[in-house]
Amino acid sequence: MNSEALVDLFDQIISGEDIPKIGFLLGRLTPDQAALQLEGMPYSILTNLAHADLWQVIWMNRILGLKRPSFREDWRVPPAEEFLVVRESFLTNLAKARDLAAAWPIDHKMKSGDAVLHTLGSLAIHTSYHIGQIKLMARAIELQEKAK
Amino acid sequence: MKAFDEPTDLMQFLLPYPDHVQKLMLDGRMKLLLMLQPIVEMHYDATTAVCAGFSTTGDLKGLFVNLAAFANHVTLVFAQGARLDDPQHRLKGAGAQVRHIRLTSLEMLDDPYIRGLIENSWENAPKPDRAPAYQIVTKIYAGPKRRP
Repeated sequence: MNSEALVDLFDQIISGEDIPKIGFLLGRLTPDQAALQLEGMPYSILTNLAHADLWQVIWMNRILGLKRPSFREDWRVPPAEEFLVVRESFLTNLAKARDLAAAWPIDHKMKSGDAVLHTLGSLAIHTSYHIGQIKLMARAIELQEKAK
Repeated sequence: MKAFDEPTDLMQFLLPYPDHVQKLMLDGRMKLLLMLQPIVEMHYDATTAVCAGFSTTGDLKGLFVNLAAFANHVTLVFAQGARLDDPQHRLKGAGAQVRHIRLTSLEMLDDPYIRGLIENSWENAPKPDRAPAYQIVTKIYAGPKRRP
C-alpha cells in the first residue's frame, strides 16, 4: 500500500464514509454509557477504546523508535471519569497516524519504508475494526436504554 | 509527530486578548478539530472578533461552525443556525441564518446537546465528493479593528 492510499484509508475511517464519523459517535456517549459493560459483552466501550488507542501508540512508537507502552496496560478497565481523556487521546493519535502517512516520506526507525507503510496499514485496519465494535456496542446500549 | 498544524496566526491574533479567552479559544479549537476531522480550518482576524472556523469545503460556502473571540468572552457561532433543531432554545439570534451561544467553559463542548447541534450543523453543510485536504486557511480583514 502506498502512502496516498493510506491517507485515503485514514480519511475514510475518520470522516465516516460508509461508517459513522468517529468524532460524532464518541461525542454522543456519556462517560457512564462508555464505561458500562453490558451483559453478554466482554468489555465496555471505554475499555475497547483504551485498547485501540494503546495499539495506535505502540505502532507509532515502533515506527518512530520511541519507547513502547507496557503491554500490561492492555485491556485495562478505566473508570468513567477517564472517558473524555481516553476519547481525546484516541482521536489525537488517530490524527497523528494519518499525518505520518500524509507527511510521507518520514524519518523512521524501521528497517524499510515498506515496513512503515505496512505498520500504518495495520494500525488503520485495527482501529477501524474497533470503531465497528464501538458502534455496535453503542447501539446495544441505546436499545437497552429504550427498553427500560 | 503532530496531529494538526500549529495555529501560529491564530495565536498571534489572540495575543491582545485576556488569558482566559485565549485559552478557551485554543482548547475549544482543538476539541472541535478532534470531533470534526478531517476538516479545513479557517482562521480569521476580523473587524470585531478573531474567529476559528471549520469548513467542509475549504471556503466560506462550507463554513458551518466557528469560535469567535470577543473582548472578554468566546461565542460558538453556527453559520446556518436557524436551520438547526434546537428544542431547548439555547441558541440566540433572530436573523434568517446565523445563531450563536456563549461558550462559558470548555466543558460546554462536551455537552451532548451542544455536540448534537454541532453534528447537525455539519450534516447540513455542503459536502464535496472528496473531503478537502486538512489545512488552515488564514484571512486578515483590512481596515480598522474594533477588537482587543
